[in-house]
Amino acid sequence: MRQIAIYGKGGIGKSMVSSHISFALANKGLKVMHVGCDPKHDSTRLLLMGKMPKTILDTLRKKNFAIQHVARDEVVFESPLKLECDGKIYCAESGGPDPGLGCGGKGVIEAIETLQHLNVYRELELDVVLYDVLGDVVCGGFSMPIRQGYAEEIYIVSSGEIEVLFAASNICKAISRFTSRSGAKLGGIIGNLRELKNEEDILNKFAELLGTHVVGFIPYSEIIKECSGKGMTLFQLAPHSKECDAFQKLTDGIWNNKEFSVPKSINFEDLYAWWKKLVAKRNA
Amino acid sequence: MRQIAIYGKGGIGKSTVASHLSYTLADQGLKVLQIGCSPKNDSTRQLLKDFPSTILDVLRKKEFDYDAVEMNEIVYESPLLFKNGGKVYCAESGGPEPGVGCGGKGVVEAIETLTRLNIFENLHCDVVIYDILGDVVCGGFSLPIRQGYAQETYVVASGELEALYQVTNVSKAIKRFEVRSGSKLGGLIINLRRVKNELKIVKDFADKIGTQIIGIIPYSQVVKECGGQGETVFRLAPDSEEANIYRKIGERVFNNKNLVVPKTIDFEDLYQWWLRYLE
Repeated sequence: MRQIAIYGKGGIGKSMVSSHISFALANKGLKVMHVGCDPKHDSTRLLLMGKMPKTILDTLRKKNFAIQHVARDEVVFESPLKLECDGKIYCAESGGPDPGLGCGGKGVIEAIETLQHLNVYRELELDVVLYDVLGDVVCGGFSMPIRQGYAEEIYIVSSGEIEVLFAASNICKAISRFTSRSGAKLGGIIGNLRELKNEEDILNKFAELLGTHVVGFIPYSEIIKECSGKGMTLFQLAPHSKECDAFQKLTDGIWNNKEFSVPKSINFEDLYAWWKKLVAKRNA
Repeated sequence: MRQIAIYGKGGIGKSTVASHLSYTLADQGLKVLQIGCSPKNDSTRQLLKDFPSTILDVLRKKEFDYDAVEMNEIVYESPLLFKNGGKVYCAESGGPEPGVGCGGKGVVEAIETLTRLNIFENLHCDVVIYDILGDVVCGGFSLPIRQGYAQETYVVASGELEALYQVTNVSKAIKRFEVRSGSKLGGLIINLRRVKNELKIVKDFADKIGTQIIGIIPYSQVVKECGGQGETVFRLAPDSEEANIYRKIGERVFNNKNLVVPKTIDFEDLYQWWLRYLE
């Protein structure tokens, strides 16, 4: 079983990207579990046809955290999407704190522990578990998939914008910190383009700086926005589009990836100076 | 002294909005302190030349001995020149070391340190602006609302579903703590993202939760370019339409008396409502 974590800054499109990856992996005949680890709990929306499942944290709260009273079908939901093969997609959402109270990362910890306790990965005979994790706050909770070695491969969704690169470099720091104990490594950068000039070049150079590579680029596109608004993936609504093709290629790139690394840590000041120089050259 | 919180989801442009707000208020001769409350510590990047040390980093170095912290280690004056003798001071809460500890702790420690050192009084601040990540409305990130530090909250949003959801989350926190903290919603600041029917979505949404729209910023390469160079539009494109819009937003926030306890909406209802605008 492969466990993959997709990190990225809020708003970068990591749920959208990771849903397409889950679908494309299942379409290869694999049994995939997609675990949304963002308090917003809409990571699996595109896989459940716009429906929002009950979160693990909500279910636990209702049962006063008596984990032994939680049944699998209360926290894991099968996607109704049709595949071309015997693959399957299962969905779970960690959930988050009641607005204003408690801890943001607790949902991630509770979610993974509950799924472990229920032995879900084995019972469903999964081939892949994919964690979609908010990367703005790399605290103990949100870094759990990296820290405890659940996910051995990490991918970071990024655009060429400086704020997004900051968040990406923060996630890399967490990977370097825990790699010797957890074995988690960086599998690469997923470029989600935002219409910056020479953005692919910025991202390729950024990957080089970290000692990794870009596994795939997703073009900026109105079609993606529209499909996402309708609660579907492009595999349902625009299967012959070039965007859909990009998601297929990205997924193949991840599935066949052999290049894993411990990323170099770069501090914000150095990263910002580097980025400014690159952009100045570009504008010259 | 007025204390204002600017919430917004990651990537929505809240630091840009907060920095322009600080700038506009300082131009009116006010002394403004902008506190970045996002672990990414780049809230004040457009107001400072260099990255400041974060409060959490300084505290870590001093093993959390608050009394050993000096004001000039955690508060930085902007080198920009403001009209009418205004000033902008900047501080960054900082965040956890990547992978360990608590995300909201920075906010809690930052506010406690600033309060303990009496910074607001010592600097004679007229306005304090908190620029806060709204993706995780946990105990830490909600502190300015919960403890009533910020009596007015503004949320930066677009017509995107995720952005509106984030507004409902902040609204839930305001409603929950309203009695004890008195903190209220002052309105929405809209950063357009080219969503279909976006103007109608955001206007109807503001009505729906019982608040107002303070300003609408068009999708703009000018703002992006200036931000990329670590500058505000006031400095690099002072005569642009965008600069005018930001000035107006500053004025409207400054004169705003319309503070409300917003209505809250559950995600499922919000989603069904939002879907109708895409047809």
